[in-house]
Amino acid sequence: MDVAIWEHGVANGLKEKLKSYTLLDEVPFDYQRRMMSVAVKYGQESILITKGAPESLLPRCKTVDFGEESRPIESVQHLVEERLEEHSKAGERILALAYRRVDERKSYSSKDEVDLVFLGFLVFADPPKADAHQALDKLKELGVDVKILTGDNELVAAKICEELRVPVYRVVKGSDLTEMSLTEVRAAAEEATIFARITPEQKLDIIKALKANKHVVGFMGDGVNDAPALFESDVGISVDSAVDVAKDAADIVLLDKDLLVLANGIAEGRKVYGNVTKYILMGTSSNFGNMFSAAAASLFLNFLPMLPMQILFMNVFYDVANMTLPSDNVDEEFTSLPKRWDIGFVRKFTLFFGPFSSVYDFLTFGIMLFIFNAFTFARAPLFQSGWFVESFWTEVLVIFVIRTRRIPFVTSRPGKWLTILTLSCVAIGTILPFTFLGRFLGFTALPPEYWVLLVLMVATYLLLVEAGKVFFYKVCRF
Amino acid sequence: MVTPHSLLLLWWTISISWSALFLVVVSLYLYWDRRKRHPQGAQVPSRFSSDFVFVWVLVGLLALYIVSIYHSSSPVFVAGNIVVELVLIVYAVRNRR
Repeated sequence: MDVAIWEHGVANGLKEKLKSYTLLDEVPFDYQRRMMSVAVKYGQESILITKGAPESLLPRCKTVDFGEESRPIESVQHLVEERLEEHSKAGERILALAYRRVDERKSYSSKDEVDLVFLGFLVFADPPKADAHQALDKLKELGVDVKILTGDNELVAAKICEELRVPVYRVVKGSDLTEMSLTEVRAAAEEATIFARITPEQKLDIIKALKANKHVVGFMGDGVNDAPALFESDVGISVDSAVDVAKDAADIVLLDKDLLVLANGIAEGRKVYGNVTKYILMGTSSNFGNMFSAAAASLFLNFLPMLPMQILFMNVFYDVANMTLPSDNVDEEFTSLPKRWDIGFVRKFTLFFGPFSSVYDFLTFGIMLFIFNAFTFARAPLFQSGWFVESFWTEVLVIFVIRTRRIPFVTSRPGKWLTILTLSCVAIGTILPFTFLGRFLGFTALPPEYWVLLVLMVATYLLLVEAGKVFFYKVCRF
Repeated sequence: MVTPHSLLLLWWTISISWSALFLVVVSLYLYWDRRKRHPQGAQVPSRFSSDFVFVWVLVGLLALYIVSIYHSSSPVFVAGNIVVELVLIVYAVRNRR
């Protein structure tokens, strides 16, 4: 607002007029008084000029200037209040302006801000962008509840909400908050849309209350008074034109003053988080299963179930298949609501989905040992090749099942690149035992009957994991 | 040293049964745990037969795998798998979201 005052003044010859004034002192703004003053010398006169919130400044005014005439403030009280309400309802922000003649001194204090002469209002219009409501609609779709925490009065805030098409459920004023208990503040933080006439400390209290109510809180602000709330919130958001302290306290600084950037950022962030979560869930569950299988196999085999080089090769190709996960599609139900990191969920997921692959690893051991008689040291390469291919197929193909809560390919399509790369890796893993590189790695060609059993086994495995998924998500309600 | 065939078979049976049993125990834990996570759902009656479809299938598969491996029989393995796959496909389609 100070910038607007300055620019308007400069456009109207303020710089020239200011040459006649000398600054004597300044009484800075604070949130208890909600006003600030400057003492200036003009000719032989010393004047204290005060601007601030009308609710705070008007009670300190004694008279009002009407040209040469001076009248008691009570005589125009009704008119002043009418104007105030009119501008507030129009969504315009208002500052009251007053002055008084003072003795010339070196310093002045808030005690001098009494018996002032009311001059009038400074009215500011800062309408929201025409398309701002689109961004707010998108935020609502993403499960983000918008609340307005402002130092302005409730009428201005309500008008802005109306223009932005934000439904107002409850309005809480700063004066109400001071009288509330902690429980009441938490309830108010939950229910209210507008918090008007609040101090920076109260902004902080509301952020803390929302966090105590288990919400992930983002706070957007650009002023010095917003810095504590920006710091306290889970995600502090500021804009490039904000004061330095606000930008320093913020986690994100928007280069464009456009809320749509924020909404798109949230959607993209959830997509990234969804894909990161998929990788973690797949990695932990398949490693848990493999560890289980390899440990048990070492108890009854007189050779290594898989050579170290073969394990490394499989891991490299498994990670290559996962490289395209960041571009994978994420289901709508995952991005539509905020998500929190939940290590308990990861642990339960791993405990549940890990043993599936172990059951099928043991089944492969049984097939290799008792159908293909690969239980001697001489036939170890056949055993290792059989387990390598089965393990590779199950570990890589299960990505398509685990990546979604829905039915893979039918109600949830994986990303194009994930599909191409995953299937390519499966193809490479399949032909590897037949190649020179395969022989170098200790593999041997697998008999045709093995492939028939493998296809059936892997199909059953994937369908069983799918059924397990129904149990995990639908029956156990994760 | 080569482990005798029968002992190897016993080890294998214990390993695959133990991993399947572990999965069943984890399932039971998660099933009871859901009441802690969703206290309002405590009133919903338990339907063991339908809630644990995948466990019944798993137990059936375990029996199939042990029998087919004990007899080194590929035809039993193939036939059993095809039947189970059909059951699981129907189950997955009926539970699509």
